[in-house]
Amino acid sequence: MDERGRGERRQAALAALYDRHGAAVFRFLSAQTGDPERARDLCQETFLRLDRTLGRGDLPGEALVFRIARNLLVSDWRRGRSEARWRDPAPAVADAAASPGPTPAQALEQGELRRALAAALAALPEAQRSVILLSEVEGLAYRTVAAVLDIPSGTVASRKHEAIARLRENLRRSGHAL
Amino acid sequence: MRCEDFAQQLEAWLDGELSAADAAACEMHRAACPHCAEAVVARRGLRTALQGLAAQQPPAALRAAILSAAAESAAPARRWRPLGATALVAAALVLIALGLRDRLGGDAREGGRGAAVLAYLDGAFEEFGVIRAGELTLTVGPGARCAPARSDSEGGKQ
Repeated sequence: MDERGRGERRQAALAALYDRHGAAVFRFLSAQTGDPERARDLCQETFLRLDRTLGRGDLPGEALVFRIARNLLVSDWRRGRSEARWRDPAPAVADAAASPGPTPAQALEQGELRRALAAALAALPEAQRSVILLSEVEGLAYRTVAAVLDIPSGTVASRKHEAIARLRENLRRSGHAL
Repeated sequence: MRCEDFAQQLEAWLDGELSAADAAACEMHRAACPHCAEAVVARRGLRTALQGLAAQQPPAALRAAILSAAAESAAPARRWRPLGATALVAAALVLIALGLRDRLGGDAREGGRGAAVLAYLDGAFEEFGVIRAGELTLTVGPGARCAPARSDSEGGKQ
């Protein structure tokens, strides 16, 4: 295959990789940073790094994809370029939370509980937050989460148990329960 | 199964990480214990809330931006590869020519077969626009250098 053909095949592989994991990686980074712009930059850097691994066989699995994303995120924090925080993506709906007696589901939709949950999540240590986002939100198997975080599979279960308990405690302190 | 055991296994059960036997035990306990059944409902509510919280969609332009950036970063390497190969072939030909010149030079001056080989190399190099083998001469030993052969005939000294 000539150089142009290889380039086109590599582009197609990168496109397939993004189509498979792009939304999940962006979701993970966005929830970690609370900053969609920073998440977009980190997501792009994640896939550019993955692009260098293409051509060595099958497409990289989700463990490698999230591992690169998470490592970039941690490096970013260490350089002080972003931090764990949350910008409410839909502040316009927050006013509706003033209506009396919303159910928990309604409160979430209206923004109040959503912000409290986001704050409770952001207050967790990064290691616990990562376990929740990877397992709870992305639905990754424990063995995959273990590969992303480079910890034993058994540690994932115990860490998630602690993380959920701490998240609920953070929510209770802000006057909410789930 | 006791409630404490159920609570301990609740996460792994909801995540589908338990064996079939342990999962069945959890299901039996949930069906028999209203308190733990309520805990399951609350826990699933938290999961739904977390998934709703993190339901951000990437910008539509991100995919194209990534593919464009990847193509740009790959382009310089692709441009240089053919040039590098050409340079290597040219360098190899020059070295071969210099070696042949060194070995056949005497023969060529005497009008032997070496002259025909050098003439062939001259033609090949002219075609590639590289160099004329007959225009080079190689001096070995102390002060070794490569110089135009014409100066050899015109100036008589290297």
